[in-house]
Amino acid sequence: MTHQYNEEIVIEKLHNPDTMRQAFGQVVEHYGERLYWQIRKMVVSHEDADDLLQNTFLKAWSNIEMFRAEARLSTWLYRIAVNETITFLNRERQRNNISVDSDDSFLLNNIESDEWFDGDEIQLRLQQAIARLPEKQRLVFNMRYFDEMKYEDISEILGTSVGALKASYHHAVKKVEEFLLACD
Amino acid sequence: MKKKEDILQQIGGKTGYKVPEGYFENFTARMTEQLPERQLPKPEIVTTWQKLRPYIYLAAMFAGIWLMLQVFVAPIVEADKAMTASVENDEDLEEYMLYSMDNYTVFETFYADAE
Repeated sequence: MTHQYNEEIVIEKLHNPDTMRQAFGQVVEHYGERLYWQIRKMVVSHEDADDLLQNTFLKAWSNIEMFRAEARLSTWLYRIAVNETITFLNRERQRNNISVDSDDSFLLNNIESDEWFDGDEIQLRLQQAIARLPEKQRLVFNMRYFDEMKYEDISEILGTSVGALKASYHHAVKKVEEFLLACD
Repeated sequence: MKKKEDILQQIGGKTGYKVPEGYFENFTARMTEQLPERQLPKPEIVTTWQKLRPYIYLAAMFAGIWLMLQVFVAPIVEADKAMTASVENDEDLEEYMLYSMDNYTVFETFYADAE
């Protein structure tokens, strides 16, 4: 049975010890998929995305009293997810001896044999192009191109001005298009 | 140029990634199962005394200032009033003035009055 999600009621319940667990279940159900895809597009592997999504919700659960009702739950959860993702990527770069200046193409090393990737040639190229972008541009590109998020919402999540985000997206699109056209 | 503009539209925002069957359907149950038990910190109870304390301190401060005025300033004002009352009579005032002036000033005053 699907419950209708009312954020105001859910937030109220999250601050009540008797209802917080049930309300948090509703939060997981409502935001789980969106956050998963956000993480997955950054880390590529399904297993890593699954781990990071669980960590995101565990962190949110442990710090639920830090969430202020006047903020938006989605923004708060996205921020946790982005932080978890960035921490993971830094750890992976260190583990693979990748320098800070290099891109994250190493994440796609085994993508063709990955059972959870069934994209065609052009989709693979797109992922390769995205992996070549700097981390911040990659985040912005994913949020804007795939999720069609508003710049204002991205700005709240990443703590960057709308103007800077527009510039960042513009550069990202240009680089992705150039890469894709060069492959033709 | 047209080709360049279309290339991202052609892909249409598809990633090519997929998830195991039923992954999202089962995720909520899997996630809520592993949430540790936890209690929210009890909200701090504010007593009536804590609420009123700043106002009471403020009132006490004003009372102290009023008391100090009564003790130190009021007697001086009262003394001034008594002095004023004692010199309200013109004759007494003239006598007081004459008594407190030296002879030269007295004569000078008389001379000025005569003129």
